[in-house]
Amino acid sequence: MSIVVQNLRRTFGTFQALRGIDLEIADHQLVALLGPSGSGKTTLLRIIGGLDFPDAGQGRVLIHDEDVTEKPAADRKAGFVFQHYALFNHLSVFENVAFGLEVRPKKNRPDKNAIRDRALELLRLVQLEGLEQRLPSELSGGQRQRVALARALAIDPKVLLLDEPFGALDAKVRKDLRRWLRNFHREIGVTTIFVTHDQQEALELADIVVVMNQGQIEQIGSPQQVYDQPATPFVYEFLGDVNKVRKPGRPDLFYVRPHEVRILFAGDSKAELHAKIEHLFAAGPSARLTLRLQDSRDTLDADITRQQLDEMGLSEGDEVGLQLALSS
Amino acid sequence: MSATVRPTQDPLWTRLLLIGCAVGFLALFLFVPLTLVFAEAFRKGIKVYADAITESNALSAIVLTITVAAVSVPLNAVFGVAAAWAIAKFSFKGKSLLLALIDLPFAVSPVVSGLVYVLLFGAQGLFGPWLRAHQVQVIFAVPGMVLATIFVTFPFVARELIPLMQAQGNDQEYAALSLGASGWQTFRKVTLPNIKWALFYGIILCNARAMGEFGAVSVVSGHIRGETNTLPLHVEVLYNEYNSAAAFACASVLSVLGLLTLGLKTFIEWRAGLRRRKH
Repeated sequence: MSIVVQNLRRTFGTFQALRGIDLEIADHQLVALLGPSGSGKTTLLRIIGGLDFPDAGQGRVLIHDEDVTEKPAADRKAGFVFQHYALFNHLSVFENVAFGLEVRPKKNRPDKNAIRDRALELLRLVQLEGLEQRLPSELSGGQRQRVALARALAIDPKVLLLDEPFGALDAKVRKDLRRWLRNFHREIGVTTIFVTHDQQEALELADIVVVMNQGQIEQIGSPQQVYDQPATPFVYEFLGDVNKVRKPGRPDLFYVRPHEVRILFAGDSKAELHAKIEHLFAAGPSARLTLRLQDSRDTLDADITRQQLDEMGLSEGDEVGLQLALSS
Repeated sequence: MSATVRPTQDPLWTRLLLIGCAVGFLALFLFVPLTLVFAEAFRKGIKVYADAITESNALSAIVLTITVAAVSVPLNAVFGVAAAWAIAKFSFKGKSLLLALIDLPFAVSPVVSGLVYVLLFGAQGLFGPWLRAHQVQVIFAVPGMVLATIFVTFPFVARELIPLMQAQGNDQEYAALSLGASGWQTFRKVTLPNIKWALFYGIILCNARAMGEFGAVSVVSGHIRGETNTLPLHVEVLYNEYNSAAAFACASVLSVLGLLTLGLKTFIEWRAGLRRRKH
């Protein structure tokens, strides 16, 4: 196991940030810690990296089977990347990347040429060759985050810890960098944990998604598992769009995703519910309908194909029948 | 002046009135007095001026002033950095108390702080008998003046650094630690370069006050001519003896030291601004 966390607790004053976390992460995996803000995901990451510590005696952290619970960050060989880069502004890109090698004690510090070769090699790896003399302020957000990554890799980390690595970037760069990181991880193979509150990012990027809420882990699984078989109502609601519906005559609440709602003509005998199209939005291959149920006053969202929309000739204000592929 | 009226533009007469007030005020209360200091200093000719500032008591006052500043400023730079570091980078019980204590010298009259040192270290003071037994003289001697100056100038460096260090946060330090740097390496290679200009600025303000301090130093010095008179005290002694030419000559030396400080401060602000634009 690359990283093991056992029964970890962390309290800030009266706020319980982590309430007993157990987690095992196998070698070479790319793991997403996913959750809303305040769920404890960043606290967990910082504790693994040694930038924060659990309550006294409350839990253990193991990296490569070594108990590092009491060890300071400097002795853990955990590469940490921050949301706002935390590059050293007064140092050049090259000096930033070389920092982790330059601060080593003299006896195991590589010589000047070796440091230089290693830093340049890393900059090539993150596709920033030629920019080594620039200052961080002269780079774009995406470039800065790649410098931060190269800097973290310079110490040959046992694990990579990324705290909302794309959080400060705009949508386009974010998407490109996400894809790039996916391939990059495949190439270097270092066990990596990244924190995100963006479900799309977690599902697209990670081998394993750890869904957190209020200081606890709700579910651990592959992206497909957590999306298709949510273990708790929280996971259901947090991952992807979901409608909460009450069927007539039945007291319990159902969860149904927008693409699981089938739209029928109002007179269709298979219709379980009847609704009116309140809003219709069509862009790209699918259309999103906002429907108001006739029996209750609830609304729900439905996604249908453009083809179906055109064939049925639907428009706002129309009455339709619904069939729900309910996954309770 | 362009013909288009900007929305925030006031009528011409308002602007002239406001600018006139500001300039008039500055001239009356700052520029004229400063010029007068030099005019008075040189009124009886360059010879009298030169004699006044090379006379042995004046020279010893200059040396003492510089000595006191040379001891207290570096110490306060170190204390200031330590206090700012603790306050900005850590959370601990009693943090707001520490912040309030740092501001204390600003709040308390320097004379009061001088008197406190007399009560502590004077012959009749708390530590007086012990100090006498070990033949250490604090009050009416240089150590007391250094202590009083340190107290009065303590807030300058810390106050300058705290807001900056709070704004910078801890991420860069954490990054350095996670890369394997020791605490000292992190401070020297990451924290210090980030606060460099603010630190210089604080040191300069601290130095200006250390050389100019009157109240606290006056209480603990005992006004022994040629021994425990700093420049500001020497100026007062000369003035009280109606030796106004010499008093103004020494005052002009203090003014020059002040102007140099101001020039250095402006230069540093300009450099720091240049760097900010670059970043």
